[in-house]
Amino acid sequence: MQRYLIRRILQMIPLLIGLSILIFFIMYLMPGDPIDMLVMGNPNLKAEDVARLKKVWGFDQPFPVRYWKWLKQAVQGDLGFSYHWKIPVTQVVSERLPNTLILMSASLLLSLLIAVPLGIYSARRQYSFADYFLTVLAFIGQAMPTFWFGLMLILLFSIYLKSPSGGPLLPPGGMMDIGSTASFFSWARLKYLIMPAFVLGLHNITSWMRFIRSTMLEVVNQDYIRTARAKGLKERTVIYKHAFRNAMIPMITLLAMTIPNLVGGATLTETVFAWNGIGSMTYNSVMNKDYSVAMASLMFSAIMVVIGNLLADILYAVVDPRVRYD
Amino acid sequence: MTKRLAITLTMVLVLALALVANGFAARNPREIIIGMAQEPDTLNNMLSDMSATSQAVGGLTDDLLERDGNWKLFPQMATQIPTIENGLWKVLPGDKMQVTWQLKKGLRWRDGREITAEDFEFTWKVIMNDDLGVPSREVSEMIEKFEIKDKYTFVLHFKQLYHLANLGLDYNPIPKHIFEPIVKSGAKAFAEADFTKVVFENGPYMVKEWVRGSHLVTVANPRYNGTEKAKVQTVILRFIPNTNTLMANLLAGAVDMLTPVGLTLDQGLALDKMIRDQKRGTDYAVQFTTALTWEHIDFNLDNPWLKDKRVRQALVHAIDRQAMVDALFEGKQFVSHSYLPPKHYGYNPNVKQYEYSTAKATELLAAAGWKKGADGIMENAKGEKMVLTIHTTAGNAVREKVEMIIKDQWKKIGIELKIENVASTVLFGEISPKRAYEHMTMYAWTSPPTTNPYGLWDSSQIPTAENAYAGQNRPGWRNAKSDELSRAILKELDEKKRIALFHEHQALWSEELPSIPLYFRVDVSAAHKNLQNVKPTGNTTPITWNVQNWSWAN
Repeated sequence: MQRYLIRRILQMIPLLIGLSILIFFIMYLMPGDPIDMLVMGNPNLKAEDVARLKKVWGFDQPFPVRYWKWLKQAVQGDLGFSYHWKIPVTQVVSERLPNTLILMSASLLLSLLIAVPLGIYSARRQYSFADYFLTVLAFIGQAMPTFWFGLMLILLFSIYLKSPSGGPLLPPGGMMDIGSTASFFSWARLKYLIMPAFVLGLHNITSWMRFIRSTMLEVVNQDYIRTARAKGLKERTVIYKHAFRNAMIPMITLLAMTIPNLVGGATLTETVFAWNGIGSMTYNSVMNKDYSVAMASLMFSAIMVVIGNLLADILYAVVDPRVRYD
Repeated sequence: MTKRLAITLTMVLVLALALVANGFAARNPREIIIGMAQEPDTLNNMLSDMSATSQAVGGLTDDLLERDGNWKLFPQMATQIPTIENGLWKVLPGDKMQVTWQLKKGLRWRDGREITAEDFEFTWKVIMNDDLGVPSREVSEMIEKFEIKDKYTFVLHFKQLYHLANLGLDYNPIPKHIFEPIVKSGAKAFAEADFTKVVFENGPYMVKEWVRGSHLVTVANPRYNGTEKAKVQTVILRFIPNTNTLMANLLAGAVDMLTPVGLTLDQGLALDKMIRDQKRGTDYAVQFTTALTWEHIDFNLDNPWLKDKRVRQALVHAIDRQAMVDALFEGKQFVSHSYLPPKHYGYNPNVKQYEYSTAKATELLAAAGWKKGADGIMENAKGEKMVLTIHTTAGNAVREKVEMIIKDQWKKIGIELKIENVASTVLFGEISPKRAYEHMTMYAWTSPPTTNPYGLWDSSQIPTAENAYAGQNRPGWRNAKSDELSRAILKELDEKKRIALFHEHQALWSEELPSIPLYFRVDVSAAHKNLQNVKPTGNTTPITWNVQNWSWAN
């Protein structure tokens, strides 16, 4: 197992370097740098100004020089300087990462709390009215466009419904009251989290619910479940101890796949709810040609995908004794 | 079953509770919250070209002069506007000039230090420092000497004639005692200077807190003694990237106003209708302000077909622009006949206007050698079919609708329009500035109220590889008379004569039509009815130009 881990981690190095070259090159290929965009909005800029500005910001350098400079800094932990925000990239990222982690964990937790019981319930009452009802809901949820759903929730909970004090029931976007020092677990903060976490979790809720339902159905028809029942175990023990545990094994892949999302953010939800996270930052950095920020966040996602995969492989071995690596 | 009942009951109870209370929470009279779709990149407006930045900085900084809601200049830090008449602006032999500025006494930076001529000299040096990457130096580089007469008086020595020499430097001043050590430690230190902490404010407000991605809090500057003190203690900018969410925030009462940085015309029209129908948002009023943003279609004048003036005129005759703006904008935006809007001081109302007439269009095309072929499409003597290509920013719904209308109308006179839209980064990074299009591109120019024809229409401003594509004459208009006029405007100091030159240039332009003039955009803003003195400008002067005068009624 140890040798396997070391091998996997060593393999990650050339993979990530290759990825970084590829991402950097694709961004380099995008037409126009920030100075070109500046010229667009300012008719007074002359050719000399353009040359001067490109030199100041290093946009006059060819691809290999720029990449090498980035790589040299990046391995030393310096992610560069954001052209757009005029602050170091580490600061840009560190301001947003906690927000993304909060939103993503809340949404993940919410999804699990809703999807698991409903999935099990659906499986146990297969073909019941409730099962059909949940199935329909699941398909509606899957087909729901995030953007539209978010706006509809804002319409309902922020404009139509009022809180007893007269303001909107839930705030229409944002992360906290301006100037508020309320602690994270207070209603003052949580009320901002409810809608975005739910919108973001909707797809997970609906797809996981279906997934759990089908794996549960598969497991409850196994011989060992019949044996467990034949032993006279309580139904609750049969379902949760014997069936559910085994049904959860495939869930690990799904959960591991959500890890990159956990730090990658969700552009649409963040934009609709003015949630200042990594997803909207990545999108804006690409649109603004803010190369160093885009590079940092895309590489971060790449690293997380690789780690997520590794983690899933390890967890298989932990939960399923039949899986072994050498 | 009982459980389900309990859940349902709880939900009903929550909803009922929520519905019982209505009406907005009482407004805090000491606070104004402005909603914006964009966030400033930095508060160092020397390094930013975003309208969000100028809006944020509008209340934080004063300059020598400022423009009011009617585009009229008034002195802010200066005692008066230098003019030839009052003797502060002198023309010297050899086409040189001197402009003398007198500062009001006792103006202070946020930290209490007095603002003097030295701060302006330092600012000029910063603008001219090649390493610092300050983009625009149009005015500053014409100055050959900066002379400090006394603490409150300085003279700018211009090495050439320039018609806008009495508007100040390219940027508002920054304090020397703060920035001199920063600039000494290099360009990086200047770019990285933390404008949420560093002193740069000399305006009615100052920065209290900036949480990136969320909000910027500014509070009244107690040391401000410029034009007028702030009436409302706190002004907050809330950043909400999605314009629909932004509007929801207004309707929910979470923001007090929306500025042109964030409200689209469609939303403004919808909101206006909602208010008129007494449906929702009745506490607000929408303002439509004619802006200096000019929507147009550039021709590529190097194209052999489009080189012919008659073809260009025919194409404009064949578009019913009036019906188009009526249908798309409910008449709030109006047809343009040239490149300057009516509020511009040099606007000529009597230029040639191309009314909708397919007969005239066909006639002009026939004169240029185009006749309808067997398939109904115009053909020239060489047998070429008139199929024109247009590019604009993909995803811009209004421009896409305009394209569809034009396609339909041109079809009637036998011209086929091929629509090939691209991402805005491609259009503005590649196709338009490098003139890499065959026939036409559609986009808008936003210019300051001082705009003149030189940058857009002088033949020296045609972008080429040699000038690093820096010019803005993208249609490639080469016209000796236009060059003569646009260059004369730059040097004409007598405003009356300059206006005459402007008129002549617009008349020539509308005869020659290097672009298709479509319409002028309006700036849309919305504010709470009790919020007084909000005066949007419709130009590059931000809506916050008079933020210190904003106040709550009652």
